[in-house]
Amino acid sequence: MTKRDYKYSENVSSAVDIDGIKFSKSEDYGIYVHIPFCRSKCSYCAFCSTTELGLQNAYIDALEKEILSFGRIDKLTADTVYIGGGTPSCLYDGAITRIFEALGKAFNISKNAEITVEMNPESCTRELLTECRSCGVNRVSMGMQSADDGVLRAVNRIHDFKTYLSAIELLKAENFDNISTDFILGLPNQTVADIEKCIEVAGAHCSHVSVYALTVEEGTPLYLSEYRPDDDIVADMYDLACERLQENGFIRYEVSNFAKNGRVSRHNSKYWRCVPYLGLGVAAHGYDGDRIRYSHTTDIKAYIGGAAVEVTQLTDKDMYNEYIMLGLRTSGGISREAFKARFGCTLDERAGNNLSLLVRHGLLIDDGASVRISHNKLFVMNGIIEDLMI
Amino acid sequence: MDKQKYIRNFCIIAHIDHGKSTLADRLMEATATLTKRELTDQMLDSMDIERERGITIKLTPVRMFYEYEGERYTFNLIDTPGHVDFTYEVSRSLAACEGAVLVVDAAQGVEAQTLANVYLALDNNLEIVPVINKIDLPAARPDEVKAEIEDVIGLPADDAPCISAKEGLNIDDVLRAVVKNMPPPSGDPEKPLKALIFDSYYDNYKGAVCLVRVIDGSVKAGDKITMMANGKCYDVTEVGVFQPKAVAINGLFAGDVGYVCASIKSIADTAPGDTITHADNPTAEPCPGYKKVKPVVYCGIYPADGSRYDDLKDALERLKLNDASLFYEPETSSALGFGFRCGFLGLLHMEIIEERLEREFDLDIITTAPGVVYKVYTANEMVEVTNPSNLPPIGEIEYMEEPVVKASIFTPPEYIGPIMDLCQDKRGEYINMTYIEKTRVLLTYTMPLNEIVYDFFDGLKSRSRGYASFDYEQDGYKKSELVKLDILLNGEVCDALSIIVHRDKAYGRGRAMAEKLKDVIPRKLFEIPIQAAIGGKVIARETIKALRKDVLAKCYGGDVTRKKKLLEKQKEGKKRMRQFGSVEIPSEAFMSVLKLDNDRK
Repeated sequence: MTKRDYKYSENVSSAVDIDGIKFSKSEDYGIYVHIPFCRSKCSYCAFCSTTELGLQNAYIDALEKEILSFGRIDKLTADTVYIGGGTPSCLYDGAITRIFEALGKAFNISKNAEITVEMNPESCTRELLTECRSCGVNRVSMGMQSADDGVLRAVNRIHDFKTYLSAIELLKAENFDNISTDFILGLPNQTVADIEKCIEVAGAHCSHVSVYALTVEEGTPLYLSEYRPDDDIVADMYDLACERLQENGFIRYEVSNFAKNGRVSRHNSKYWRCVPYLGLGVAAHGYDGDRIRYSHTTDIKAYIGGAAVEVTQLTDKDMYNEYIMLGLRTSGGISREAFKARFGCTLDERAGNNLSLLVRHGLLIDDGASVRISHNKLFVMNGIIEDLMI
Repeated sequence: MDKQKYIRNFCIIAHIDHGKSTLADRLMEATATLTKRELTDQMLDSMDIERERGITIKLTPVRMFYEYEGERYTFNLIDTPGHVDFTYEVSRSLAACEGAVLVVDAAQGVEAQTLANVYLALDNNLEIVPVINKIDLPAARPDEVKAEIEDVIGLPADDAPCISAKEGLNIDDVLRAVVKNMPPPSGDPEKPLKALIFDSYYDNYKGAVCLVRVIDGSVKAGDKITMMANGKCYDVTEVGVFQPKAVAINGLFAGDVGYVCASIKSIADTAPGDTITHADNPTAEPCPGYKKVKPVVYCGIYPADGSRYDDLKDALERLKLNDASLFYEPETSSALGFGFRCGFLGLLHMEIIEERLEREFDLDIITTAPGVVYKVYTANEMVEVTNPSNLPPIGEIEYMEEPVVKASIFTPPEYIGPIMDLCQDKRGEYINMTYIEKTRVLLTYTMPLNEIVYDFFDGLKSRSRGYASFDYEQDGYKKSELVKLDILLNGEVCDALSIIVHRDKAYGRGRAMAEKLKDVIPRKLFEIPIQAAIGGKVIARETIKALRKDVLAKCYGGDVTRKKKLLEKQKEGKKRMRQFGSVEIPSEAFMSVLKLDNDRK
């Protein structure tokens, strides 16, 4: 992968050029901002984050600079903003404000934009929520991971379940009504009772839930501890979670994501639909919606020092494989019409025999208009996706 | 005649690791055949594998000169392969010598191969010069080892040189003993040519190069020669000696060791043990003891990537150029596709070929369980079966025979119990037990070769903590209750996993294979039954449960590429697996069933 110039559009005035990447002005963008700071590191975490909180000022400076590089000539429009981490809620007072002021200068943020900030219970304070409110944040994603203090301690989380409940109460008191929460399946010492409790709380207070099966990433303390979750137990937990969430009025719209009252994550949906989004900050990834993906360094100090982004030009194969992989994660699957509009050929022409084979085996559901993974096969989707990949 | 008085043809025989190759190096150094700088460690072992494993596969003769009491002696040192698989080659190279230097480790004493090699040397009427090596070791006990040589082998060892080849200690004693104790050759240079081929190798420019010992007569470039085993005639293009690099000379005479080139296309025509003579003035009698070597161990070799079949074929052809004892013929398997049934002189030979295919030819190969040659008797005929899939229908088989060997095991007495259990378990029949000294015992058993092929070495090693040594010789065929054990995956027989076993062993092997396969075959979206069966009768069953979790977590921070690459990699991985019906079998599955006992301990 090398950095290269790529002409997105013949008509330069309809695009914004940043670092040689051309971003079309006719799209509504998602904006992801990465905050790589945490008070302590969870033992399963392989994401880009540090506990060196002393780097915050320099980091926010660099981030601000990157954001403002977008506003120099012409503004792109964004209809989702997602501040993720790390732990955005552990930033120093005023940092969130600086980020949003910069975003406001560099982009047209739509009136009805979905603006999410990720938080951890122990750092969710009234002051922070006030700051977020004044920045236009209208959605909070609160990390629960488990409702069992023993499990939380086992993976080095620094909050307990009581703190989580207080944080949720605080959110409601501050009138945040679009709350998402997430928990993990397959943590050490975790039982089915824990999953039930997680869902009980989420059902009572949240409009969106993400349920992830634990991936033990190489190099993490959990990996080194040699703990490995049992796939069958995790699958049982997942089945239980699906069932209970449904009973609580949640609809599964992606393998790991459940929403009540239509409150799907508009930002995350952009990833699965292969539409454009910008990635700002260390380790963040962006996509022009067509053939360019880019990523930032994962080295915080290098980012602060102004390291260039790495640009990848997608091949036809990449484009197709990504579309299959991402589209089939959703319960809506892949629309034949959308596929044809994007690729200029039909899904059936492209996927060949395997498609009909997978349908015949009941792994894929084909209703004519779209193709999706059978509802009870979502948790074993990799093999199905691999069969359709080229 | 006079010239022969100053020639000594000898070899060095030893148990593995007793220091044979190191001593050979020292002899060359001491006779200034090579300077220290030219000596890469263990000069004679030229293949990487030989040097790494400390074994000799191809023979290399070296000519050296040694001054003693004012006379100049020519020494021809013929290195011998130190392993049971190559017993016939060893016996041919011994036949080219008048004497043998017997190297015995001063700490370890007489071992299984020491004895086997001594018997071979005595069969060939060689004068044996014992040498006690490694006297620099703290555990060295040269006097006891000398006594052992006298008691066990019956050789006087009082005057045996005590040396350290590693440290270069007392090497001259060995050279002197060779001159004084070994007889010179006694052939007649005036008689018709009679030269024994003890090895050959293939050279891209010269064709097959015969390594020979001239018994009678002489040979030079331009001579018309004939190979007595097959009667083929050739014109000699070059004769020479190894110093240790090949050097052409005018002629080889009775008593000499050297090489003969005659534009021979294939080493299949220069078999060890064969005799070269002049086409127009042949010797009356060929050298005794020629026989065609036949493979005793067979297995299927397949390319892990089916598209590399042609590469595998080329590689086998290339190896065969220099290894006439390697046998191969194409075969097909419903599970593994196109590959080869290969025959070897023994297990080590098989391992070496497999390793060379992977290392020198960069091939990933899948091998099936090694088997032996069974004699299957039906109403009208006897067929030799080397592949379980070729077994005639059970109804037609009257009875079967399997090859047996005589096994000699040397061990400290504390391991006798576990080793006897092992031999018993391997269907061994006890013959004898002799105390060689207080601390060492020789056990002899007759044992079916198919039990040795299946994991005997490792079992012996672990039961004796590596202290036991082992050797065997072929001992004919024996009637036996043999059955074909099949493995069914998802209801279909997977031919590449079929084996022929003794009826009493079938249940245990079947169980163990099914359990092992359950661990190595990846789960699928449906349940996969694994069955072990004899005839149509299922004797063991395992089930690979359906896969229930196969999903990636979220695309964090919008990173789509990493997940895509992960799935693409997995898809590639699947392509490398063998598709058997709807079941994917990883290459390890075929290997893993070969080593069942180890895992269960």
